[in-house]
Amino acid sequence: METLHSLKSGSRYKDRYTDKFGVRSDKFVPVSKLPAPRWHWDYDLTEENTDFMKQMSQVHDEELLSQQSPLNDDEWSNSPWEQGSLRCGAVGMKVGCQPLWFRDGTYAVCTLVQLQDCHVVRYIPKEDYNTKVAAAIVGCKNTNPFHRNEKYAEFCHNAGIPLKTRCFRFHITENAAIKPGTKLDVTHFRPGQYVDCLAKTIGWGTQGVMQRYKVSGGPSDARGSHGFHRRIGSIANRSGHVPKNTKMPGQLGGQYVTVRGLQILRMNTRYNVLYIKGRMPGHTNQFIKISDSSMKKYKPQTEEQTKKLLGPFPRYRPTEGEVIPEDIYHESVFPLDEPTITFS
Amino acid sequence: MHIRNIAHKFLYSQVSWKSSSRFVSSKFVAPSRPTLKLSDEEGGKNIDGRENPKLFSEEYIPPQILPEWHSNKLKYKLERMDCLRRRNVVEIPEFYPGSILSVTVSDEYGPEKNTKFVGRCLWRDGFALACKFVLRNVIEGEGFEIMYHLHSPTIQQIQVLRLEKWIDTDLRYLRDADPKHCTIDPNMIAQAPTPVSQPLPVFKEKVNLGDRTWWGWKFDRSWPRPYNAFIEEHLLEEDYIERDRLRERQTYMKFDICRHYDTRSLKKQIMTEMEKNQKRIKNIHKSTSWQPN
Repeated sequence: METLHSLKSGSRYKDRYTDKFGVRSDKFVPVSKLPAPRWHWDYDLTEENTDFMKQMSQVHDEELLSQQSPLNDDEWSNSPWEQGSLRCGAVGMKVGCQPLWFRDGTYAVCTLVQLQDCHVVRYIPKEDYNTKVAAAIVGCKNTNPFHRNEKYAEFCHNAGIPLKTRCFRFHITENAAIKPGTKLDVTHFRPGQYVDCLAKTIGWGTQGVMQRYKVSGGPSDARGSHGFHRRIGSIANRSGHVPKNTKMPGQLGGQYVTVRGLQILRMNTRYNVLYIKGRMPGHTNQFIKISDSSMKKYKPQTEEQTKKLLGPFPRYRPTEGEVIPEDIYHESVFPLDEPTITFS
Repeated sequence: MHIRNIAHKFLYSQVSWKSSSRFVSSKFVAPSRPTLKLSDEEGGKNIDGRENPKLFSEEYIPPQILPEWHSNKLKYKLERMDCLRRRNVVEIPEFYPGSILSVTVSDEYGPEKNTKFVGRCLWRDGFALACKFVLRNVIEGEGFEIMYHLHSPTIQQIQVLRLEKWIDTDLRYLRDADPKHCTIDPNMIAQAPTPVSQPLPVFKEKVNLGDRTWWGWKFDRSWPRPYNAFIEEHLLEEDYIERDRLRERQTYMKFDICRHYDTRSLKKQIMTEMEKNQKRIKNIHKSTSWQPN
């Protein structure tokens, strides 16, 4: 079934389509199982009109962002920090990995995460969401509004921001209520702070037991084994049934995983990039949810500890006349501008 | 006065023979001392193959990642900026695998709190700050290899004792070759390199591999085929099967498009970018103690 979309973009649907059992039968596939026809958003427009529509969407986004002024932020009062209060996080994109040196001379690898167009999209108070805890939805990276449906466009324009590719949800206390439309920059975090990162891991599809669980398998043909190379061996003990959680082939990757207790060592305010020590799941250009760490040893107990372990509560508000430096390092990090390390 | 008395006064006046200003004419000009470091005036302008390493170096070229949307170009720019910061502090000269270097690293357990190692560079690989190189030296019959990060802050000095350029960039077969190639005197005196305005002569001789039962280098996994070593002649007597397997591998590898990485257009971009960075570096506002209130 050829549509205008497939003709225009040059792609063709598969001639032979399989049903859910992997069986190919051209004649007996019902129409409801075939892929639904999708037309491109500009299939009935001329080239001039598509360019005009794209321009107007950009202008609309710029107008929305210019309507945001710092005066509007004072409508929401900021309450002080208490023990057990949770703060909103940010959403970023994984950019790559880079080495880093400390003042001792030791070496570590850090990942770069860029907070690209990070805005709060919605705040849901305690009563509407869950009688215990409130929620905030934060989005990252602007997209083309013509590739999304109208419901999502309303969702984003209600906050006064352009459409976002990916949104994540954060659980927060009512202390840290945050107005939808606020921009979250790198200054929302503190150098030396500990952070949890959640992202979707790289998807490897169905994989065998050696890739999935790192078992050793069997010997090679040269050592005389017949038909026993990449297998586990036995799957059960004398119980008579196969117990739950036995190691067998299946899906590897493509799942959400959190890595806890990563430290932020360096920040760049010009490009909004965070240098986080360690590695995190996902490929480059993958969306990452960054939140304050939930580990017991990194949770602050007193207000003094919030100044080391937590960023500005509930969010960063710039003072008048403050000049934010472009490169911000933690105390223990060695900036490469300085002369070589010597031991005395 | 008698003339002889006057002459006596002239010859044996207060001026002593040591401060012999009267033996030195005013037109004498001392010649300039020859130095290893060649300035632009003496050496000339950098030609295409030998640029100023601050503007262009092999490690500034990003690795080939296909398709293009699997890589992020912002990261390459940020990392090259960090490389420039380190190079403005310490002079990292140009060198190629095959050249002889001496490296002094600050070490808390050494006399004068540093250690020096001299060796021949076997390979140099990595992008920007992750660039590493390996030096090999044979001391009292025992071979030593040490790996260094090019931009590490513990390195006090990198000095090129002899600048050589071999056709191969991976010289790990020297582990199996005659140790004379890698035995280097730790007190070797530096030799002046060819000036930057002339192209470097390339080392085209071949190295003989020795008889060994255990190889220090996997010759069957390497591509392109090494030029500076006699491999086929060495394998004639022993491993016929390995030689045939080598040939099978080589037939399709040279037609593999993904192994051919054209970097000519990237070179120009990187040079312009690094020139801008050098001007911008001084104006960047940096702090190690800033905290949000």
